[in-house]
Amino acid sequence: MSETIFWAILFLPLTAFALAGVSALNQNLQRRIPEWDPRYPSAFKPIADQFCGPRLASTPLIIALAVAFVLALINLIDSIGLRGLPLDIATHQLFTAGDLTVNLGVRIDGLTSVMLVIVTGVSLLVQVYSTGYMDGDHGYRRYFAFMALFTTSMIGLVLADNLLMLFAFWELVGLTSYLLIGFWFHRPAAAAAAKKAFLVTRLGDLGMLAALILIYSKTGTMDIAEINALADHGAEAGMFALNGLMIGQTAMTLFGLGLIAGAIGKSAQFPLHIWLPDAMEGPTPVSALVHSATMVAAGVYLLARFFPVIHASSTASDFIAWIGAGTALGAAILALVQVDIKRVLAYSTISQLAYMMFAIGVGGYVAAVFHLMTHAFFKALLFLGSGSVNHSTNTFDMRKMGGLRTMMPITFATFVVGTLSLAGIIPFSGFWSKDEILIYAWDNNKGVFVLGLLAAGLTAAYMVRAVYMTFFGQYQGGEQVAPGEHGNDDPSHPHESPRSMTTPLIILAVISVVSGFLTFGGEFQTWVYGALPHPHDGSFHWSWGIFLGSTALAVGSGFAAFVFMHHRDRVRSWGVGGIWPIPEAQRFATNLFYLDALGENLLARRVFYGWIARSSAWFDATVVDGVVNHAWREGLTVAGAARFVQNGWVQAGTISIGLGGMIIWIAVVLF
Amino acid sequence: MDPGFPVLSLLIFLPLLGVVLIALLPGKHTPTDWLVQNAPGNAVDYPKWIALGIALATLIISLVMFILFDRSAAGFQFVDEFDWISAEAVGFNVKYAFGVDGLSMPLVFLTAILSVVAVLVSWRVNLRTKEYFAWLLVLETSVLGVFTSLDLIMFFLFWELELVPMFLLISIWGSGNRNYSALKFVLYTVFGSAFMLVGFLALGVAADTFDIREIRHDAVAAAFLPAPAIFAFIMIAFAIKLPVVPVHTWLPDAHTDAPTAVSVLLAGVLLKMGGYGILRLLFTLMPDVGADADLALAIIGVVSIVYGAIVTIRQTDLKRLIAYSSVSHMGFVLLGVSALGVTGLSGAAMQLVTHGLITGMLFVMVGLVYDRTHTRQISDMSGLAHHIPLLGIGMVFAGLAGLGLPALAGFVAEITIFLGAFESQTAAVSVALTGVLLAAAYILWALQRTFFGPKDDNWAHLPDANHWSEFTIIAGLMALIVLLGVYPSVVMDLLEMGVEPIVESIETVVSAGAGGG
Repeated sequence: MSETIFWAILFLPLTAFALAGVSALNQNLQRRIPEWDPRYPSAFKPIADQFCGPRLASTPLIIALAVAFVLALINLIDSIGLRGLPLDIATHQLFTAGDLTVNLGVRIDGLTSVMLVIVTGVSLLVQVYSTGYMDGDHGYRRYFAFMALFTTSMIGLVLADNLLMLFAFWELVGLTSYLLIGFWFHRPAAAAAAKKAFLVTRLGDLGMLAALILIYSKTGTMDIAEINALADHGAEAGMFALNGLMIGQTAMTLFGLGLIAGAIGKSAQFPLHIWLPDAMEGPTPVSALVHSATMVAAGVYLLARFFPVIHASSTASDFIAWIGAGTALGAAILALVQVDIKRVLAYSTISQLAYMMFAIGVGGYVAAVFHLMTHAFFKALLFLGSGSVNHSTNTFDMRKMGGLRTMMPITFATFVVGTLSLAGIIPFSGFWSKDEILIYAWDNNKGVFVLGLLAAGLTAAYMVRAVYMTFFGQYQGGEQVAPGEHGNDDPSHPHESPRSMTTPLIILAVISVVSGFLTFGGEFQTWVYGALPHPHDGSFHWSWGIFLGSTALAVGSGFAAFVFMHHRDRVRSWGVGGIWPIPEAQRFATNLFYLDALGENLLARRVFYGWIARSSAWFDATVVDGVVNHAWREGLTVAGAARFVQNGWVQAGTISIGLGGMIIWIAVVLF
Repeated sequence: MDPGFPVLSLLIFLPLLGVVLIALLPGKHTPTDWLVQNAPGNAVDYPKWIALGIALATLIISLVMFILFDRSAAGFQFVDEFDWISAEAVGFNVKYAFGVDGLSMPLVFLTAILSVVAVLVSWRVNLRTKEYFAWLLVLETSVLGVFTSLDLIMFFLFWELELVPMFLLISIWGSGNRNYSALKFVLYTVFGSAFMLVGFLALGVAADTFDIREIRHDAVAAAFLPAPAIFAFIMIAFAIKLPVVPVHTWLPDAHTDAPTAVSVLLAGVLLKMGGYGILRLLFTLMPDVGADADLALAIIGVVSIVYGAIVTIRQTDLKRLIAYSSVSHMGFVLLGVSALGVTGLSGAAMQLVTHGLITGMLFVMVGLVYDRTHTRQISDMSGLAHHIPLLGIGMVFAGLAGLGLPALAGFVAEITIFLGAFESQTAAVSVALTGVLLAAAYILWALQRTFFGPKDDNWAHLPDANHWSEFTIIAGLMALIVLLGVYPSVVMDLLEMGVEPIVESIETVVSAGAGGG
């Protein structure tokens, strides 16, 4: 594969962004200009409408992604042939400043190839779905422009061959996430959620930025392959040294922890997970693509990319293993008490990403990448399914749904496939990847294993609860369209979504079943190991004990949840409120363990804004500026006194000169 | 590059020629003038068209210079000089000398670009347009003079010349508490200039020349003031201009009350005179003192970055918020300088250029919004993006550039400063990183409160960007910011060339000091 192909994959959606941008600009110009400027030639209008209409926003993007997907697939086949080994592609110098050289280049190996297929494939399906979901929305063109920019940034992120380029695209996906969460910016909640997402992830990015600066100043390189080779080489007497590069063990650990901080922010892990549930304010296809399948997985990708670095420090790998295991369980508990279907899926995403995180921590590099892939498909499927439900009920509140299985059969069937996959039921794809992670955890860290296993049990329970509330029982009538919003005019009669939306659901459902079979034979493992400095053959892992244990737990808790939901009223009459037997525990969970309140209300609002920033601003206005103003006024007084001296009275002038002369003379004599 | 033609003198004094033209030709504001009375419909507004023509001409000249600039030759190019004052007996020799090197060329180009922007953004000014545009052009001459002077006295003259148009532009065409702000601006600058002049005289008399190229740092030892004192005196002027905490409070006042064009030039190029002076004068003439002051500079820089950003967050006036953010961003310049290496200094110089474009654009956007809403209070605005989407795009873009988004210019400068300074100023850089988060906080929060949120029918009548001058400015600045963000070499190579001799002289004195000590 020549390098041009990869730049083409990057620039195809970028071109689509430019075209969608033209389309969106034209929409605004058309809307505004003729009103005040009669000189705007009205002859342009039909031409502009014909060539710069809404289709200019979506069609080029879908074509670009289809081509990019085919290219990614061809590359995938090539890469499998090469056993995932990196292609030899030289980097390009972008600019220099003294010793600093910033490069731009692509790194293609097994890991990149699988990520490229996931990103272009899921994005393509989501864009097709979006043409149906966003149809009629005022911001249709802007939506596709943002989506195109997002896909470009995400592709750049996985292609990057050095950490600075990776960081640049990392920030750009953060930006597009901000724009897409705040897409309906007229909703205060959406505008606030967008800002929160950007700031919370940027807090993590500070760690990544620090890591980038640290590794550059210690080793003088930002090249991913060189850093990994150095870390993989191992430390002797507390120093990593290879090919003239040197870095101490402590610095390497700090570098790893900095990367982990970035990953915790982007992949919404404790304690920076608080932005992801709020991010559900964005349009649902955005949640499917950005906030479950691809962007939030970038944190996992980053740690997989730098797996030798994380692995070179037991502090770093233990840290991420425990953070991941704790988040997996905590987020699963929170998913169990949500009434908004997207929030259930959001906490589920946090929990599943946490699985991948602790997999990296316990050394399950391939298992993490495998779960990243299967999760991308089945979670995109679930989110698109929830969007399909919303398309006809106008709500995400599961208490207003129910009984939709007969009215929306395709959505129901595909959603169940996604649920089974997420719950880890054999033979759906999620089973294979989740079990592989649990096998690694069992071998390396029993504590992490126990937390992961408990989370697996809860996963089945919260998904069965969500499916029951949405698709079983009596239909609760949905919600009327809010004034000024766009939606189904008759929510009392839900209907199946248009074909543009159900087709991607069916395709994703099929992939969610079959993608797990890649694990047989160990080919997938070998291919992903090809990205490491020391590639080695992989193999298919199987443990009867873990299979039986995790399946029994999932089926058991899923069944229990079903029974509980089915007999909700009778259970409640026994005095049990909610799904948790203890009311205090229920309240603790519905308040999200008070973590949002702590982070946002107390630390950000009270301590920082209300106290630190306020006192600084007071200090600036009263002390820094106040002193100057005071001196100024005093100066005027002195000037007034001086005016008294300078009154044109010649004798006074003479006396002054005499006095001054005497003072100077005394000074000269004395010193 | 020697064109055999005094192109720099032409560049610097062309705006003054424009002033003469504006003075001679009638302006629209004088209805008693027979020419205008007889003009059909009073349609032609001579002053602004002359100002635009002159600003475009200087832009074209500086663009040609930028292209012809020899990127392989170190030192000053396009040099234009003759002896002006020769008082050999008292050692007071002043040259009329101009020249550009890799450091000043991009800043000259930036000045020319932002002058065009300033004229265009003033297109709707109605009050006393003749004087207004004349003073704008005087301002352009003075800034170009500062960036190209090769003689300390010339530098000082142009530095002071800038005060006249600034004072008048703020106090006549400004808003709010404009007289106070204009006076405050002048007093602060003059206070610094007094010290600067003493420093310059001490340097020049000791070295027997005021020519920047000829003053040797060892000659400073013979001055009537100790070298650190001279350094500190000159530093006071540049620190006020940059500005750094705690001498920054003139800036928010001047910015808030100045007309838009003046805010653009103030943030875009006048502040850069401080950063330019530090690199061009202090570190070129006194590298030994500068090398000793690195820690102090880093600390002042970090305090400006973090404290400036924290105070920014509490601002309630949109324009004042942008003004305070400049304090934070200019702290990066000091941090980069304190690295004492080519990377750090290139980053600092790059920050001067990129901040000029980005904050210039932010002030343009705030100005265009203010022209429509007639308020700058953040709490008065909401959901503006519904009614003025094109201005919303410009504002969001400029804001994102301001918070250092990759692929836009500001990121390149900040990352270069961080990478260049970390090794020598580890603690300072680590603290300064929080500035990146704080910048995102104040920009995004301001955007959320003004442009996003529910529709406010108060603003339903607002016209969006609808004039060619507005489209030109927004599109042009966006293109430049993206260009420098994705292909920084255009400017970075020049800046690197410009700072290399400075770093060489620093390294020479440091190694000599180490060898001698």
